[in-house]
Amino acid sequence: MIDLYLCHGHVYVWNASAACDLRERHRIVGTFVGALPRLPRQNVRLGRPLQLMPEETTLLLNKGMARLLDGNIPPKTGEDAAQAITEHRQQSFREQAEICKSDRKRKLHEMASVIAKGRAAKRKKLAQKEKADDESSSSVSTSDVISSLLDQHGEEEEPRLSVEEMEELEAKLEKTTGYNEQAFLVQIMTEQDSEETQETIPWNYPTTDTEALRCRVFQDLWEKGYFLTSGGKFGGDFLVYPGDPFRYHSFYIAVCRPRTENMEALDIVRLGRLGSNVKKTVLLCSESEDGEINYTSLQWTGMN
Amino acid sequence: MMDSYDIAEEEDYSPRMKAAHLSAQELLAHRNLDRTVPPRGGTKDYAPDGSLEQEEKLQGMYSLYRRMLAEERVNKIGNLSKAIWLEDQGLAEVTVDKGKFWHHIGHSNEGKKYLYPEEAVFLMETNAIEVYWNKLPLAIQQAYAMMLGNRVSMEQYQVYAHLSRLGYILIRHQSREHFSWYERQIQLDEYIPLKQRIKEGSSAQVRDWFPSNQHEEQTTSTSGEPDKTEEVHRDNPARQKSKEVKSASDSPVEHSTSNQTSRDSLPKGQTSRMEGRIEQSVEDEQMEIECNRKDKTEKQEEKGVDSLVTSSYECKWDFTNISIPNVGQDCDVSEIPIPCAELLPTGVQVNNVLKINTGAFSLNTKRGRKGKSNSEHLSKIVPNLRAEDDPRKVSRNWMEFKKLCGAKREMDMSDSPVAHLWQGEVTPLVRPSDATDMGAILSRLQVIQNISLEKECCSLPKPDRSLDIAYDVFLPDSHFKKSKPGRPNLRVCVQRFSEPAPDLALIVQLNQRSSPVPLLWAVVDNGDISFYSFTEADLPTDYHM
Repeated sequence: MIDLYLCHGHVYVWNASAACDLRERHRIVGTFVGALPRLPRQNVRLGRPLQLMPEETTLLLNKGMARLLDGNIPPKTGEDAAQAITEHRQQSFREQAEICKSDRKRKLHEMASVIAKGRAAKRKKLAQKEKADDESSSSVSTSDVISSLLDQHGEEEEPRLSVEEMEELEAKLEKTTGYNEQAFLVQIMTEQDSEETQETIPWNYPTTDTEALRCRVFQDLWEKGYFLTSGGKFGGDFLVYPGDPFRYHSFYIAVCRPRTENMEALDIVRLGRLGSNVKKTVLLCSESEDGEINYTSLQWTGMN
Repeated sequence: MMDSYDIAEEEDYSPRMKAAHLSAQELLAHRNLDRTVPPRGGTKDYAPDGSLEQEEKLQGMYSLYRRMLAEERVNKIGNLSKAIWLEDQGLAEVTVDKGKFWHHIGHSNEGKKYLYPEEAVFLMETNAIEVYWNKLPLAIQQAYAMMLGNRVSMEQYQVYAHLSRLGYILIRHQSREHFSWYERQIQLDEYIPLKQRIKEGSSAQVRDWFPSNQHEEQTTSTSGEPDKTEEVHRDNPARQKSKEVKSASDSPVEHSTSNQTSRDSLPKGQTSRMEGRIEQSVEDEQMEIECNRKDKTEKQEEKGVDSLVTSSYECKWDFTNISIPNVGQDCDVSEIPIPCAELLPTGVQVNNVLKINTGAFSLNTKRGRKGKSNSEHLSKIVPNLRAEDDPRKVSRNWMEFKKLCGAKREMDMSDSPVAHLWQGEVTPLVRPSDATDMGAILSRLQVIQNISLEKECCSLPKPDRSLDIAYDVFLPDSHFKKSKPGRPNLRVCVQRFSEPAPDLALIVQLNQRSSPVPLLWAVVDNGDISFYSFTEADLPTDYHM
């Protein structure tokens, strides 16, 4: 069951996995209208919430795939709730500090050989410096040459930190307790967390004949296996896709017209032009008396 | 670090149907988020053919989306601003201000910083602010419910967020109706703070816009004596020059030397009386001079050298060291015919033919004399400008005079060989006097005139509904100042797709309010936003000889 929230006349899906399920399992596409957390300042890809068309909502509710909840219920208030939030944060901060610490410990072990190398090099440098001081007083002896050769030989062996050294470093890490409060991470929640069960609320759509026809057409095409999105940009009611709009172009522009309404020839030309210009077929959709949806396709043909 | 990241990633795949309070581990994992946005899925296929390849591509897209959408907004406490939602005011009060957004978002009132609902929600969505309500941090879902809807419609917010995400700076539309059309055309509205203008109340007091004017009037009326000294001083050079004409030759070199002598004769340090006047701007002085010179000149002649002594020298320019070229001396003098008496208001008499030096400046030696002759004309004019007293069609100012002259010329066909053509009922569209250029004739022949709806919208009926411009939009600019935003690059008004299209009257009304800034109509179709604009187009007037 997918939770839909009605908020100021629009229907939103706030849960990420619910939004994906709608698309993958139920072929309901909707429109993402929020900023994408990973890169908020762009319009190419948007994130939660997912806004649903009224027809999509009607279909989901009719098929029992979703329930409609009131999105305007204010959050719980009071000291308890505030206390819970603060506690949760404090707990999170402690955990974060702990993780950071263990993280550094692991890194310490990873870097042990590098540290050992560095220390060995430092020791050698010091030794050489001392030697240089000695040399300034006495002339170069053969023993020095031999010892330097020995040093070179020694370098080939991997220097290692002794157990004591390691423990000393770890103890140093343990001592650092003061983490900067400001560096802890917090989360700006996207979805509200509501433990208590909410009552479903009624959905008042469609109310007019035009809306009813749109809903019927939407449902019929959806049942035939198509994906549908809003067709406003193409001058129709819906765009009809053979597969997921991610991967395929739409085939049809669905235009809903009541069966009894007269159409002028000019209207037909207009719609035909519209479809042919964007390489789509215009579908005139109407409902017959026995409730069946009839489709009439318009295609632009020339005569030579 | 890598381990925890992997764990978090795996968890993201698992379905999470409850609101996600991230664990500490997941929070830390969010530091290493992939900050790239996948491209738009590549080229689309024609239709699904059930092939494995297509299925793989689709599943790849789906898993990418699952991961991307599940990501939460995570930030360091130190980087987050804080605000408190004040429900009764419909504003969010900023208590901790971090980051750079305050440069172009928000407003302050009595020392407190406030955000409008759309600004607060947008900042929440861009991971910049935590908004508290009753000590609880709000989730974005709650923010949508509590902050948007009543005061700011969802569509309005979506348009605000859409443009803000692109980097535009949006502020709520600041109405320009307190400024006249003229003030907007000359961009005066950018320099006068709106608050000040509202405080002043009526914009009819044009006088206020020229404070120096008022100042001048006061000084002229109250203090007569300083004016006189001023005049004395100002008229001196002219008089000196006229003297020179008689004695000296016309060469500029000579000119400057004689100036030198006149300057030397002035005693130093006589500025004490003038102190009150120093504040007055240079322009003021000059205006005054123009006005006063006319009838004072004669008096000065009598006063003679004495006045020279009493006059003070407070001009910053040292004319002794500036050699002024003789630009007007040898220029032609053109005569202006006597204006048509019947078009002038009663009381205006013009005796002589006006002579105007067509040189660019009148700095030559004849200036003094000419000034006198001009002023003779002008000083006698006491025009009766109350046109209602005059049954004749007369002009009250130069613009009207020119118009009337033009009309008169047109009517006057008596000396034309084709005069008989205008005697009947049907007359030619073009008069010989129109034959100034091709364009003028063509515009005469244009039977149906173009009108600019923006200027003549009064002829339209009232719009069937009222709508106001929603936002002023500025291009991304680091120099933008909230206190002095200047002229916006665009203005936007928001419409729902399901609403009826605006009628012509509404379009014209809003265009006029926005003028000269282009107005865009953002039409929101269930989260999809498209922009439209209505502009007047001038038909090209194309003519070939």
